Amino acid sequence: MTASSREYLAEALGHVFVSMAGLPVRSLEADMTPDVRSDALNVKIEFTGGGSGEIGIVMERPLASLVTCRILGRSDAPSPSEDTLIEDALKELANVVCGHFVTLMYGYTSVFKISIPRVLLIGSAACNMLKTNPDVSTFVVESHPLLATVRIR
Amino acid sequence: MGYSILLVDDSTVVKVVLLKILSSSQLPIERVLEASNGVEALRLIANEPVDLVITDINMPQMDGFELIERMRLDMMMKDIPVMVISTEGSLTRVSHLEGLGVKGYIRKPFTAQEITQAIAEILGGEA
Repeated sequence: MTASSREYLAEALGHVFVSMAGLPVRSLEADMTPDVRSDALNVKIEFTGGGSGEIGIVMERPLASLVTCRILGRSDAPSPSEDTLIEDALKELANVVCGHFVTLMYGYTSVFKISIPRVLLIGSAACNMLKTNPDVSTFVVESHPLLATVRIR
Repeated sequence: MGYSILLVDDSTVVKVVLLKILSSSQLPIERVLEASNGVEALRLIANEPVDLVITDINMPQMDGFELIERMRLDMMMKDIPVMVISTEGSLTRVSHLEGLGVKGYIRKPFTAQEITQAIAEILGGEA
């Protein structure tokens, strides 16, 4: 991940989290970022066109649940039977982050095809290993860890 | 008599948010229909009266571009106004949409005011 792609990803994440969910995102060094303590949701989205690559956003269920509530304007947390709603919210979040990232990175004239996002489960140990990868950007949202990466092809 | 609006988006979350915005607005809306992609949307438009289509671009099975292009080729659908809500920021894409006769374009993330104002401009009424 180049310095500029990392900066643009942080900017896109910050803008979209505040606009969609009213949640500020704080960038932190990996060793200052809280550990991931449970299985996390990893949403991936690809873009092709004026440039191509893949964005990944990783968060635990409590943060995913909070994001979903904020987007929907709900006060109650989604129940386990509403997991598909949480996945849907994360996909939409990734879609909007990706749209903003490609505009920041490549400008307003390039045309992109953005993939349908997919959500995978990732174990806490794998997440914490990922956190130490220099290609991964680390953030905190209301004390919850948030990991993000962009791979330019 | 109010308007009938069709929301086309593969995201349940987006449709829920849009429904909330529409139901709390002052717009004269009688009915809101929902579709998850262009195929479902075309089926609904063929069978139900629709005054405005609000569609996303990036959807499975049939995306928003193909939906609008097919509507423009159909005598019964070609004059139905279309508004696009998408994450696309490309001016080239926006220009392509304008060429297809799209009446309004809103980029995600959107605000309630942007949505209701754009609908009021297209259909008339108070946001």
